[in-house]
Amino acid sequence: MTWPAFSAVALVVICFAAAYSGGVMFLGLLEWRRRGLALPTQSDAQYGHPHLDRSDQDPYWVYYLVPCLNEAAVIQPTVRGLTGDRRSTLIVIDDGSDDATGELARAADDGQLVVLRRELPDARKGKGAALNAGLALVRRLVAERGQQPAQVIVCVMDADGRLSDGALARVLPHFDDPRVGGLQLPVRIRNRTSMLLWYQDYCFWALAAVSQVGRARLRTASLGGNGQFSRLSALNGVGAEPWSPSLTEDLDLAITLAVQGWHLETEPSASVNQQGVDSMRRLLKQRVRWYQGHMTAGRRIGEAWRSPHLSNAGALEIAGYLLIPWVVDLPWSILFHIGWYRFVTRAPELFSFVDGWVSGLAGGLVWYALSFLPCLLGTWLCLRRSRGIARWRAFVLGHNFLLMNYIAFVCVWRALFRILLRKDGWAKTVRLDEPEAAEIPAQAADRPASHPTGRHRAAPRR
Amino acid sequence: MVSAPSVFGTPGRRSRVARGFRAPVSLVLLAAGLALALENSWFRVLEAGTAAPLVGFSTSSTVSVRPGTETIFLGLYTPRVFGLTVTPECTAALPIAALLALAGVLTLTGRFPLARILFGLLAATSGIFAVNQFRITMIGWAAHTWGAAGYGWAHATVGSLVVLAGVSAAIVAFLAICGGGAFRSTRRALNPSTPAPPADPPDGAPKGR
Repeated sequence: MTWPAFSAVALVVICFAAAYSGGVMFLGLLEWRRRGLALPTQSDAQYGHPHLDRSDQDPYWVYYLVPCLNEAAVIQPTVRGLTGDRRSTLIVIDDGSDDATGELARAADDGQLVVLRRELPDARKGKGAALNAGLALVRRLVAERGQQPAQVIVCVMDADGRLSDGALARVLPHFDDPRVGGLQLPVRIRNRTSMLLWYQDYCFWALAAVSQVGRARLRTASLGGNGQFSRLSALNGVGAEPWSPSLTEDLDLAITLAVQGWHLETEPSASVNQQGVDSMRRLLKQRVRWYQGHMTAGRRIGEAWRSPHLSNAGALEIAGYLLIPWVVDLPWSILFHIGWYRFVTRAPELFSFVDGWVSGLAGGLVWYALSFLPCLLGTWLCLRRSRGIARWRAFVLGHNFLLMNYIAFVCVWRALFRILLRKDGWAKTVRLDEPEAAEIPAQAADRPASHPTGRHRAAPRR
Repeated sequence: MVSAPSVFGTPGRRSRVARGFRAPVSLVLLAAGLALALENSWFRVLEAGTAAPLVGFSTSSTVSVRPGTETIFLGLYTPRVFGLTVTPECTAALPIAALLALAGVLTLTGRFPLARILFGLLAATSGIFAVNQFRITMIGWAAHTWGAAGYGWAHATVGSLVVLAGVSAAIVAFLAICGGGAFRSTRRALNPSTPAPPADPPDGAPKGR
């Protein structure tokens, strides 16, 4: 490849990435403002009592699905956090656990829990299969209870997931619009005890949460595996088994719902928290799975593109999102290194204007601002989203760009090889034991409700 | 299959004539993109020719471009004569070629009205061309004012930022124009005065995909 061709390809890749990422982030910030919310919304949220403030008048029945495989370390607080509301039913899907997940869940129950035990060889077929089994039970219960599918909301939670206090009061009104089929909550990492865990929190809380609001403006917010709400009538329209065997069954469901014309939303004034993974090896394993699912979902671009129910902007957004690993991450993993080589070998030419320490310092600063502009924006966003975070930590997280690049490079190539080798095995993320402090204090259920939006808190907007 | 109630209706109906034009227009756009990527010296000559008066105006100096070449000489008849060549790395031809190819693919898929794609393409290519003209003018002005140091600043640092921002904005503008009808529809859907669609009918047993 000649240098002009390299420059052109690099320019196109950078500009595509900037156009998509910058576009949804900008749209997200606009939409955030339009909704009258402050960026630090939920940054001080309390978790574990999602039913606080729920109106007696809302017509919805909520069914939580919690797929579990050896979740004894975390299941009890989750059960306690999701029960306690007479219009909610919790279904723990014990997918053939070897430990006491089912027994521990039952022990924490206050009468609204159903444990659905799956045995081998039907068990351990992946999260999608477990969720489909849980949904079959939901359908049976809904029919027995004479409930309307359009008024039944199914919420998928991870076994370590906790919904923020008052989450349902913020989420359920979205379903008053009959076109809304799904909603995904922003995700917070609970155990932020190392830079690796802070990094995951930064990706979810500062970057993904804002871009999700931008995507929701186009009605195409993506669904994730934790804090995923969907209307039963929408799931029924997808088929008997709405969650596919894909490695990212949540993304697959989001595409299917969007293609059928359902609006996909998010709600920044509620959130869900979960454990992060505490080692780089596990993080890479998890991200390879996500990348593989994301890349495989690329085959559905045509389906989204042809959908008469999707707006043009929605079709463009879905296509852009699904193309990112193919047209940005893969080529960028090569172009990035050629670019560095070019930068180093052409440094005398590029810095030919340097004739003293003043121009050298000025040139260095301009080059830094040019090369690390996304990092500076990330630092700003991190400071705004996480109230009270140390400035140095936000600066370091914002400048994780290099680390993020290399995690993406490793994962996207590994995922590509797995696709080519037709390997689609699913390795579940291992949970960590948590200290007592992470448990939900029982007496907290009786305390006065705090406003979940944070809009009326004393702290000023930053 | 149950699908969501929609206020959008079906996408706009394209006329048969426009549909018939799509394949040849797409081929022309793709071929033009490929040709521009492979052979763009004529385009660089054009860029130099159009930028020369702007450079002359901004530097208040005498400027000359020898016919058929892509080099602008500025500051003629002064001790500060400077030559600027629009190289294959500095031309707007390659990002425009990529945009032509993208427009060709979008035309072929039939999702967007042809007129919108062509209008968007015209706007975005004009934008990229204008941004590069601005960049060349800025480099000429900086070189004339501060000599080689000014050239270094304007060419490698500020110029790169200008091009990145300009091309990204052009891509966003192109896609926004292509999907513009949908943006209007989305706004209408958000308007509370929009009559709500009928509630989703309760359905019984799940249906197959």
